[in-house]
Amino acid sequence: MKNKVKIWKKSIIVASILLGMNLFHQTGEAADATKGLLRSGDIIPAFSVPVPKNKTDRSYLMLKKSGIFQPAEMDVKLLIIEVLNVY
Amino acid sequence: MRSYINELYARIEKDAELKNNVKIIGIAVGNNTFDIDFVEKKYDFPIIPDDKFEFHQLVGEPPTPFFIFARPYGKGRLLVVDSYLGRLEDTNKLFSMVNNAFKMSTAESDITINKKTDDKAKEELVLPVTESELMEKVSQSMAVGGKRPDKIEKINLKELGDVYTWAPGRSARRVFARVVARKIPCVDCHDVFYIYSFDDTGKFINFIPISISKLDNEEWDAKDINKMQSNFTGKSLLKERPFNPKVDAISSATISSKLIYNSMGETGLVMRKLIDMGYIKR
Repeated sequence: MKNKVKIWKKSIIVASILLGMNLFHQTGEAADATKGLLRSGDIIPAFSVPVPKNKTDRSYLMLKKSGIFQPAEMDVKLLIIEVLNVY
Repeated sequence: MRSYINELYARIEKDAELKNNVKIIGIAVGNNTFDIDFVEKKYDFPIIPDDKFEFHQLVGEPPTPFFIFARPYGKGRLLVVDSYLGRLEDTNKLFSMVNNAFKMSTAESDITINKKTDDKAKEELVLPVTESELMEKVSQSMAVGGKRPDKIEKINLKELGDVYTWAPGRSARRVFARVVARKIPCVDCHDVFYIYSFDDTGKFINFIPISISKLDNEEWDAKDINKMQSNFTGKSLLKERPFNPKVDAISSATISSKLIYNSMGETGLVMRKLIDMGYIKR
């Protein structure tokens, strides 16, 4: 009986160590993925992008002219940019 | 698949306080207007092309999708209030992030500006090969008429990376090999590392991958490498080569192929630097 308890205890300790190692590894991977990315307090330098061709999009962004525009010059309090790629 | 972000857009538009104060745009890195037109109807908000990766490089080449919550900060700049990497399909959580970011945007004192953000050093990628393996590939890329270089000189072009050079002979043209390391705008993809060589007139010579993968991170095979090589064989790298994903891309590696085209498109800039440094005569 005592032996069974000892084996059970050892198994729990080994499992805990393995779980801990796995969590540590995963946390490291997550930290790597976000390393160097923009975060609160960073400044994005001035940039321009093309004015959308679509009339509905221009209206949504309150843009009257075609060509290029600076998103930071829009009259908004908050701009959400989803960086994506469509391939 | 896009429903969560469209749902967020709809919730913002229904919210009386947020509607005119918060806008969403998508910036599609490595995509041109044609690509955007193809997918535009999937998105309820504007999608703007970043064909030459200019915005992507400006914001530190993040994987995608990457969300930036920012407020105007004068002189065309934006101040980042919050950011999020990856899909966040819980719209309630995403909407809560928008509300928090909006509150922070309207309370100016709450955000501490990070120092040196205007000139934040670009994080350098580490080549996945040893120095001797790299030099073997550089040598292979610069071989002319089967002759390998006997003396290779390394030139550091700072943000344009390292270029190696060799002069095959007095009458022959000088050869250059540029090592390219690029972050790929995709969460599950490996970064792109390769070498391409050209002569002192900008004519393409060779394409040698160091590490380039396809979907499911499978390395490019000989057929893929040959196709990319043949896309450029006999061509001048000084002429802009528009990328047509249907014709020019390696199957299941479209964004990697686009990055290769984009980097090769920098050859004119590379050659101008080499002229300034005296490696190429005007």
